[in-house]
Amino acid sequence: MSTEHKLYLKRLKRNKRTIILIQIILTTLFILTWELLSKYNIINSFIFSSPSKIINTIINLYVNNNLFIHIWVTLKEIILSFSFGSILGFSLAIIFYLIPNLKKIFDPFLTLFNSLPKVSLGPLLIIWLGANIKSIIVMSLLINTIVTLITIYNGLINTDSYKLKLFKTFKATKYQTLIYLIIPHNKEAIISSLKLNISMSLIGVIMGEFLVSKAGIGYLILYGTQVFNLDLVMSGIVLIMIISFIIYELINIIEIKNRT
Amino acid sequence: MSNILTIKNLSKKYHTPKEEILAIKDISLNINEGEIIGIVGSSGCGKSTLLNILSDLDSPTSGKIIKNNLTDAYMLQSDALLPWLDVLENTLIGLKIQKKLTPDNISYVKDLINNFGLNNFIHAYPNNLSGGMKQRVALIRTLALKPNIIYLDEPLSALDYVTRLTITDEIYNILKKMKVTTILISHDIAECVSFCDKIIVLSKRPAIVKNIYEIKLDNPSIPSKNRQDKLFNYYYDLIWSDLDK
Repeated sequence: MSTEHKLYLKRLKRNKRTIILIQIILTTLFILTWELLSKYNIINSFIFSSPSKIINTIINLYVNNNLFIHIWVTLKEIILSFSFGSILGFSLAIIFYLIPNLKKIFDPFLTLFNSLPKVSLGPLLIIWLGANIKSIIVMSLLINTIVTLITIYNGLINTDSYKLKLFKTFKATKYQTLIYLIIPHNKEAIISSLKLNISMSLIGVIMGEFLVSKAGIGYLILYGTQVFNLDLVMSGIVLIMIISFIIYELINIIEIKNRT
Repeated sequence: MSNILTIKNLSKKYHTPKEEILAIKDISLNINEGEIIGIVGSSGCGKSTLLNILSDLDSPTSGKIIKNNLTDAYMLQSDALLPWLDVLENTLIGLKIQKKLTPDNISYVKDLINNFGLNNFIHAYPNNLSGGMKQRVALIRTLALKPNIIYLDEPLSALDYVTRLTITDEIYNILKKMKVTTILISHDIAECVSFCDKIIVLSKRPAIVKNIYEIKLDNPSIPSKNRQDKLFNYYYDLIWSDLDK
């Protein structure tokens, strides 16, 4: 390796380290300022809570054996709605791609449904499906399926026309074109739709838990608001952020592995 | 030479919401085994449409195509290599789709890869190949199907001039050696004169056959040398003057 290349790699590494360092400093500064402002009563700690109070609340939840119950309930709902939403969105995208007229028929309905604030369907879901996990999952599916469907479908219709023509010259069947060309060609679009789907599932699940739940992080936030325990509300938000970050990073790892 | 492909009174109309477009009008041709045919014509005259119909990618509005025991293959303008497959996998994709992935066919493809000097790149991915190498892989993928007729739709138009000349020679040698009947579409009259046995000049849309020229050079050789032949310029000028501009 030449000296110039070593220098280049060193510069690259240093730049990466600097960025991470600045991120850590900013986060520490934010937490520290929040803590101090709250401690010296510059902001009302009852309304704005504080990092130490949030940590205490999370520890209390853990000591009372409630923390993992709530996390598991929300996580289970996210996993279920994410899996169903991904499979449903992916399958519909493939069906619409293979039968263009079907897409044309459903296009106005999809647009209409996409623009509808799904939370407005919440009360109906509770009546139709009951005040249980089913309503939460369906609420989340209403949000994430359509987004997955649209993202993947847009990827599929942009498949390279030359490659499609090539497969036609081989007299490939629709199934072969799908397996050997369209799906591998759209791997990146599929992964980015999964990333989007995670955020959507989270929104859907928390929204569902706000409407109807007896446990879960959404429930914690709602309960905290009702009894005016804002430490609990903030703790719920922090827990959601942590869960969302971990799942997002997991998909990132899958994406990176697939790229190389 | 026996007749391999006959086209009788072929016409093709396209329909758009605004109009009906007659792309090809009453074309009749006889193509013999082993011939290299060039089709030239102005841009958008219907050359690609004709090739699409011959290769069953499109159907004619009227007319007949008679194929005598034909296995055909098509090489596109773009190499259309699949970036997630290596060179060997790319060359085998057509065979895989047609369920002809036999050990014999695989070793045949490996021989072709070797003949084209790509042995060291057999497990390389397309993004590590030069433009010329990619087109060689695309050609091997086409030849892997062991066609007796091959359609070339301006396959080298994206390459630089020097690479283009080199690959034209390589393709010519291999096609002649394998006695594959070839139909080449090109904008480049010089390429056609140096490469083909016969050149069909199409009129502007709707395409009809204006003229068919048999290229009989003084001292026929490989395409890059044919460009220096005494009669090269004669044919070039003749076809150029015949072309609708």
